[in-house]
Amino acid sequence: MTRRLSRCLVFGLLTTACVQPFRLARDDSPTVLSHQTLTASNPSERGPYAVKTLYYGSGKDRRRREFRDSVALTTRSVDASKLASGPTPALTKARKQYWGFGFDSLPLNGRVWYPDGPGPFPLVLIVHGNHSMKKFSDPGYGYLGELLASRGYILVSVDENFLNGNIRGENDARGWMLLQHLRTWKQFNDSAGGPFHGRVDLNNIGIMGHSRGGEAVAVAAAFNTLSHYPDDATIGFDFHYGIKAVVAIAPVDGQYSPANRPTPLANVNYLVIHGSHDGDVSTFMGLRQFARIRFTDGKPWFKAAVWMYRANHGQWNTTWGSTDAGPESARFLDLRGLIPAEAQRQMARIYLSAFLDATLKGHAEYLPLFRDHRVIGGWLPKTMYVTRFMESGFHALASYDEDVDVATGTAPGVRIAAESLATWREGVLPLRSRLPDEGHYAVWLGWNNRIAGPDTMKTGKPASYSMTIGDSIRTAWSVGSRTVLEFSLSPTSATPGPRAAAKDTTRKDSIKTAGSKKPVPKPPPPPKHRPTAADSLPIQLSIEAVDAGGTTVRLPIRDYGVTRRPLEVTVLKRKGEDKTAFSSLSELVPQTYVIPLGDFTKANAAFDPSRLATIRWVFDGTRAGTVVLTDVGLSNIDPAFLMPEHR
Amino acid sequence: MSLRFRTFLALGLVARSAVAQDAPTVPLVLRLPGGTRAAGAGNAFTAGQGAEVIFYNPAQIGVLRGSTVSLARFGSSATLGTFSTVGLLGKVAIGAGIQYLDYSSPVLAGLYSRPGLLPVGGPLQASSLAATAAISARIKGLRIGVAGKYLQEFIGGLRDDGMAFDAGIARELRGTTVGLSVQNIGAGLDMLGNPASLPARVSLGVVSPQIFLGTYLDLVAMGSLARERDGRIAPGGGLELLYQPVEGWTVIGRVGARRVEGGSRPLESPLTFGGSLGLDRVWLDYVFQPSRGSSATHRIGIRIQ
Repeated sequence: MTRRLSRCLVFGLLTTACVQPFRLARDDSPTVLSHQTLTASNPSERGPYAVKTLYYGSGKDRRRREFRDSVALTTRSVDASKLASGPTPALTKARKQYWGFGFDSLPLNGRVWYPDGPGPFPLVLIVHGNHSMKKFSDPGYGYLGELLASRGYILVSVDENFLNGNIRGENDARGWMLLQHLRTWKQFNDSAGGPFHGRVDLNNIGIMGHSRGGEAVAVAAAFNTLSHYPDDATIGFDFHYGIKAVVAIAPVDGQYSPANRPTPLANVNYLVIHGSHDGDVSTFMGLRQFARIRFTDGKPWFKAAVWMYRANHGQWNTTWGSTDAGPESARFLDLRGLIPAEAQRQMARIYLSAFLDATLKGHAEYLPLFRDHRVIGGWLPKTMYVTRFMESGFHALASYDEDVDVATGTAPGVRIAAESLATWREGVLPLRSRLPDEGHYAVWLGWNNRIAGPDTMKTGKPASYSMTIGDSIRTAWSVGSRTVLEFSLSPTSATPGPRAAAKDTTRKDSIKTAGSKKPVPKPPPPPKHRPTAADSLPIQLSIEAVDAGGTTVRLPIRDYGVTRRPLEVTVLKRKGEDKTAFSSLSELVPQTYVIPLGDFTKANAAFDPSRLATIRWVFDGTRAGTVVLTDVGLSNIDPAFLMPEHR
Repeated sequence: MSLRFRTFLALGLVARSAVAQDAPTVPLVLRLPGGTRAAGAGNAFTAGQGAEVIFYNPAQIGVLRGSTVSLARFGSSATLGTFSTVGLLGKVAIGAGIQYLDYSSPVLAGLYSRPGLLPVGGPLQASSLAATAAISARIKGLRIGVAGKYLQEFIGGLRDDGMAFDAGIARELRGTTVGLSVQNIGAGLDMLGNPASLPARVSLGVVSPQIFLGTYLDLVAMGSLARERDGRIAPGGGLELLYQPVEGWTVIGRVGARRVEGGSRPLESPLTFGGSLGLDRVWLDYVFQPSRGSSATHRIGIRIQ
């Protein structure tokens, strides 16, 4: 008996030794999310409408009774054979046998949650991503359907299960299918006597997608503006629907590239959310699309990216669940760190509902939460978040994409300088995964204010990084008291060694003379950095503004957002597997900080925002560290994005 | 030839006609399971995969590269060692294997022994060897393979050797592997005027895909039906229950059953019990086969795949 027990124990110990020790980062939400400063009603609460449901579709679906026997509206099929195909003829045939139709006759099936009222109501489509085609994904957004319909939206969960399974490169078809659904909805709206006649607000359409569906919505929004299919211009497009809002939930990116380019997107509101513990799309790929969105028509658009710690890929969909790569993935995914599914979905309810309210219904009261998640500390599930944000008023001083000159900015006339930095370089923002990068650039700024030598307390002047702007920019951009400084910043885990002491040129031995035989002593190697408790504290720094008259005001960054150090994430169960699978254990997601220039005036009334001359990042709060800085700019932002005290 | 050997030989030859038994086939090693995993699964490995499949169906050698070595002990009187390795060479798969049995023959049952008698042993030192080389290719979804074997049987001071050939085909049908093989085709051996055929057989086998039972549990089923040279039909089958708490760490429980030689009262049990412990590419296999009486067969193997 004892022997048997000991054998079991040995096996248990061996297995345990192979498993990653359970580790979560210290949760700062009790502090960061301690306040609810937004006073609007909670967007995750049900609205005033009674919710009705129906199905529309082919009416002859072989696999789903709801799309065969329960359709209230019968729809046509569409030919997507030029956009999607099976991997092999045999598999194409097998798929056709299973579904009863091929890629040339895809059905337009949807399950609809809609408000019981006269309307017209904004229309929102949501589409799932790739999953087992036999485990139907479209029912998994019912929690959003119930909520949004009660709040006055028609929500359609689009069936694209027949594009799931073992095919690739089909995200153009997924996006194109969404536009076919919109075409159908226009017909529903136009059909006298139909249940939706005159009840659909086709000028305010939102499209939301999850995983591959998250890329598909960007493709759909791009196709919506085109006259031809980019990869085969014999296929004409004629969509031009009123898509105002695009939401990507843990999206992929680049599985479809129109004309071999990343999908461009312009003049649309965009929200992307992603979980740190995503076991399928294990890196925040939506940041690539986020970076590619441009606002060019002068209208008030915005984009936001929210990264949620401990969220995974599947819990946004109730049928997908916690095992992101299928039910057996519990064998290789570490599920212990996941936030409860309901908490994860609660975050989706809040952000998606608020985003649609803000973009399709003009409820501006929700705009601040896309700038800074801390304003809804009372609503959000208690975990850690990072928010990236940009609105169409943003003018880039330095986006770091334009050239290789570190001393110049994006806008003409911007001069950049640095003082006492140990690291100053520009580069592309990496993603956690090994393959793609973010497709966007940033500057790495590292400092150590300690002076090398035996006195470990000796520090020099805080390192700094500054941008100087000229009159032309101030005039052209109407810089003034309503202007805000926007930038995105993230600490990294790198810590440079102490800086060298300044040379004392008054000492005799400091001057090297010709013919001197005295050997120069080799400087001692820099001491190795050992992590201390202080290393887990947020990086502290100040933002300094100087006006043309020389008035200097310094504000601590902590008042505008948390500067959390990188959060290491392990999604894989086997010990050490994450280090092999990913280039980094932490995802570099810069947090956006929006600082009204008026706040500098509040700190010092002599400061004149309209004469802003220099912005300086002063690394005075933490002795050593490295940050990544990107998207530095000024904006005469819609005051609705700010809290009342900053308007 | 020693007097002792000649005495036992004469007794054996006389007894041969008296003792009811199957027609003799040699080499004896070819009548034994080729690998530990296969032995544990009712010898139903015609559609199996891994290095040891070279002893069952050459068509399957390209499915899973690796090597395996095994050692079996039959009671206290016989030892079997096998080694096999398979790999890819361009578009074809090649493999090599060797099976060597060291045993003692109870000539009372005839010159040639039987698998069921291995734990019993006898007075004559004997050995049996088969060295196999195989090649396989995939043609339009069908795997085709052939193997050539060098065979040698040694009993007392007698020895004979020869060649044999295998051929096989296999393919996947909706995740299930189906294999068909013809084995041990060639002229028989002859020792001291006692001709014996090769243990030729035709076998049809299936192996199911890994069937998901639960978060950490899978099931694999194997089955085969063989027709042997003497017309005997030998069905076999096995089940593997896989427990994988962490990817790369696998514990397998295995049970198998097969028709064994020996009529209604076989010496060896038709049932086998075994298991495997796998850590990434390295596997440790074990199988136990009871025999009548106190002896039994234990077999261990190490696989790298």
